[in-house]
Amino acid sequence: MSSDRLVASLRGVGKRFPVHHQPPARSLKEAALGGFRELRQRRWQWALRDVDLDVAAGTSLGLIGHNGAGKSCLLRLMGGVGHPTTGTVDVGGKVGALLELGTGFHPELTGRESALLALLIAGCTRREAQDLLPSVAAFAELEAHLDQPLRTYSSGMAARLAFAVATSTEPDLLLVDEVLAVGDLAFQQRCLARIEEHRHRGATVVLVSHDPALVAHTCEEVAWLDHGRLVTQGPTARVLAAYVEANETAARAATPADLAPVLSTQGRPLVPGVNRVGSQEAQIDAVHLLDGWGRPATEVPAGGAVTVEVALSVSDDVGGACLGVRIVRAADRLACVDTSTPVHPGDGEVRMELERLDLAPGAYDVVVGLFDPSWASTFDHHEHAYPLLVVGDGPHAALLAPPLRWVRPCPARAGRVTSGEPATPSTPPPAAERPGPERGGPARAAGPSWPAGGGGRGR
Amino acid sequence: MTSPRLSSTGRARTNRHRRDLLAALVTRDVALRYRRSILGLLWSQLGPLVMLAVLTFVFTRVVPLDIADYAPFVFIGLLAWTWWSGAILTATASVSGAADLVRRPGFPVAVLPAVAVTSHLIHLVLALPVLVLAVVLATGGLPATFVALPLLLSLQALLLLGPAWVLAALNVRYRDVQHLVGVLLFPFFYVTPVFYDAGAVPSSVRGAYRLNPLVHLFEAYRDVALYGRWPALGPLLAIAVVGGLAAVAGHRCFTALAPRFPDEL
Repeated sequence: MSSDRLVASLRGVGKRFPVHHQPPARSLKEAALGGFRELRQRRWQWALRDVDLDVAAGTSLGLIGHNGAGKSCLLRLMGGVGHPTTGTVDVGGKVGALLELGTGFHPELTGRESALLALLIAGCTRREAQDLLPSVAAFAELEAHLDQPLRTYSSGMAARLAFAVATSTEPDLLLVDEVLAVGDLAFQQRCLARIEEHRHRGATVVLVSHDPALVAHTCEEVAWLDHGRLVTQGPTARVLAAYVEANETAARAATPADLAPVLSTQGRPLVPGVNRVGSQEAQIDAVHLLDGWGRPATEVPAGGAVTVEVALSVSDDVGGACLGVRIVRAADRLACVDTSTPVHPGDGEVRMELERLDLAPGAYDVVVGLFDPSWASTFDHHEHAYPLLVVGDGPHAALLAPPLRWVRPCPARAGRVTSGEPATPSTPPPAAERPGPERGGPARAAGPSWPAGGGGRGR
Repeated sequence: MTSPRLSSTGRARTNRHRRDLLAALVTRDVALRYRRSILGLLWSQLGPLVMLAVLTFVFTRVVPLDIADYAPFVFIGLLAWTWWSGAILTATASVSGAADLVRRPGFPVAVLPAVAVTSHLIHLVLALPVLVLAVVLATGGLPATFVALPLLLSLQALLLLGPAWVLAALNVRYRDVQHLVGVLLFPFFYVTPVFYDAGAVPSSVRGAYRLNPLVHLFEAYRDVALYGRWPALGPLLAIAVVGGLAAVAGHRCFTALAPRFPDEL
């Protein structure tokens, strides 16, 4: 598929909705009593304004922006739902959409009936739907439950079924709204893998998300919308960097001026507006780093276990939040671990248990952030406050130190160094004889690191 | 502007998809109605049977109308009217109650009022055995003209489509269209020969009365299903023309308003 060909082309697209100060006339009587005034003098709000956007065939475009920025509205227009108020929307090819999960689902229908109906709603004929059904059931892992009514399904099962249906139709253009957020992590991974499959097939993907990490992972190109206007469209790295920076600026601006500087649980200063930003509608009270034995630790062995324990205050007013934990390399702020979980009011403490941290020895920083559930604004964000030292020997120049070992299956060759190989000591000690620092884990990289690893294990 | 389509393989496939979708949505409606009930589809026979018993009792014993074979007579009217009013009411709310489908890219929204019309037709068809039984019990046999019934049912379906599309579209903007429809169906019931004979209408108002297409349709139903007569062709042809024109106009009106539905739901 030529990358020059456009799958979607939007020119000067604007979409406005009426805003009402009073509830709108929902009845003829109201409209008549108002002398149909409402019909004449309406106030309008623009959800989208002057958007020019081109989507080349075979690309993956991420749409980012805050709540109400017009992302979903734009996605719908691309899907042919409604007309733009101004401008033109040109979309070619077969459109598949994952905007709302479970359209056409009814609790009394069985999984099979739901899937067939949803496939028909998605544009398949009956015969096509029946042909697709086995693969849908397989992807959703619901073969055994296919003839059970949907009311017996968990929300995760229903979401899997809906996603399987939506992605089974081999569309040329796949529109994905913020629906991936509903499932668990494993489900999200499968969805992303499925989206990847579509990309390999040559399909074009347009994905709406608040989550820069998801967009960075999935999209080659990003369009950033703000209050209905297109801020910029371009390569993912550039646009995301600008977006993240704008968010940080906004979070800094939202930080209450009267917030006092405090010391972090590790004794580092937490200075509002500097390394602590956010509206403080929900707060991170304390962050403890624990080692594999549950003891407070500022350093952990490479390959060892780490637990990040976060004490939070999320009030009922806020309703809920997303807690993000990230481990970045101190030197260049490269994110090595990035994970998040929804938290609810009353969750006083949340722990992220990392089974083994296979990072190369060095200085890292644990960054903890609390965001609103849609990732649109920052409640509380702590950076440069929880240093973590990973100790041990290993290839310091690299990022990862996963368990590995060198094996010489043929003794005759053991002493020989081939010309292409770096000057590795020819006979590393047998890996299995050296106990790794971790609890019961497999033996780790045993040889001294090259070129100047300092030799030995250093402990 | 090229509107996104579900298929690039042409009109034939689109039409097949519409048909399959209609069938699937109707099946869902009908299946859901009786699911998890012990008697299941029997309910579609029991409801009309009770109505039949009540009306027959009232209009043969309490207020005798002196109509021969009253049970099958009123049952025909009852079935056709139940379809008519049920389809109109359901169709009116069919789009406003399906916001999720309306907001789905590529979903042919115009299918929804048609689903309402068809679902209620299925309920009528399911009750037909009771009608056959009533006719056989009353007259000792089934007239050969019964075979023309599907034709008349198609005419009523055609007649329903136009109003179904218009009312569904209007109800998206003004929700009290559905209440208005409910209120208007009440007098409509009485100007339609459901439980009485059209011949009993005074000649002074008969001209206006017979403008109601349902009058001719209901008479035709009784002709073919009960009296064994072939119905008068003229009025039926007129109904076909009027119904066809109304359906085309209704569909135009619906598709003209459809782009606004997503904003108004």
